[in-house]
Amino acid sequence: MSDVFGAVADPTRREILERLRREGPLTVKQLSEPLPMSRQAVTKHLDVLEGARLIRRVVRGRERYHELRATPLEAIDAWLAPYAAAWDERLARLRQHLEEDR
Amino acid sequence: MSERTIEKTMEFDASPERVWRAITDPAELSQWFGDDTRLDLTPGSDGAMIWDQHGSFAVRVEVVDPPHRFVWRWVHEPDVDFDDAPSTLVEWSLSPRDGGGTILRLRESGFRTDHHQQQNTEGWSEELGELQALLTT
Repeated sequence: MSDVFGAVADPTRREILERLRREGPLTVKQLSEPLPMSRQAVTKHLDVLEGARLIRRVVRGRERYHELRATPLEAIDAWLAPYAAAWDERLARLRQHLEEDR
Repeated sequence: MSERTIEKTMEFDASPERVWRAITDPAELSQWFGDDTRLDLTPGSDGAMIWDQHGSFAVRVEVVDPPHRFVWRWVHEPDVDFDDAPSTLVEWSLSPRDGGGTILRLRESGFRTDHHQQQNTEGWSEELGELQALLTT
């Protein structure tokens, strides 16, 4: 799981994931275009994302595409769960508080 | 990756004015939210939600529109200044319920925002590390 957190801790990698989510599989060239960095630098980010199993590389014809794998992101949802649970507790206390003065 | 948000909706028999007081008056907040609350209902003002056990969490008020909308940001790291840590946005919306009572909606968002990235990329990593620690204990 630490790989996933490390992978999404970087803003460029989050941007890459966001684009893959919105636009579907993309090549390094397509991913590099709007980014202020070299294709080599983007490739390094893609290596990290692949290492965390957040993307997979797929060959289609002569092009190599990068495709989002969303399953590891469930870990991110899991880390939000304690925050959501804290709100459940607070709201339960709010209800109690409002009922007390009726 | 979409932004992670928490959304909750609750209904109360109490009027919107009553619920508004409960979520904005420091004396009331201290009875159900934290152990102590510092809050000034002026957009842009700084406050804090304080727990004896966990410390003081900096708050900045953004929108005060009684009894409809109350919006503030807060940091998830105790005892740091508001500007020194990433914050999330807490939005309360109140609407009257047909036949009396109040529908209260809560939304907390910005667990990951561009603002954090620019302001404090490190903070995000740390935050994730802390959460990870939390999950693995």
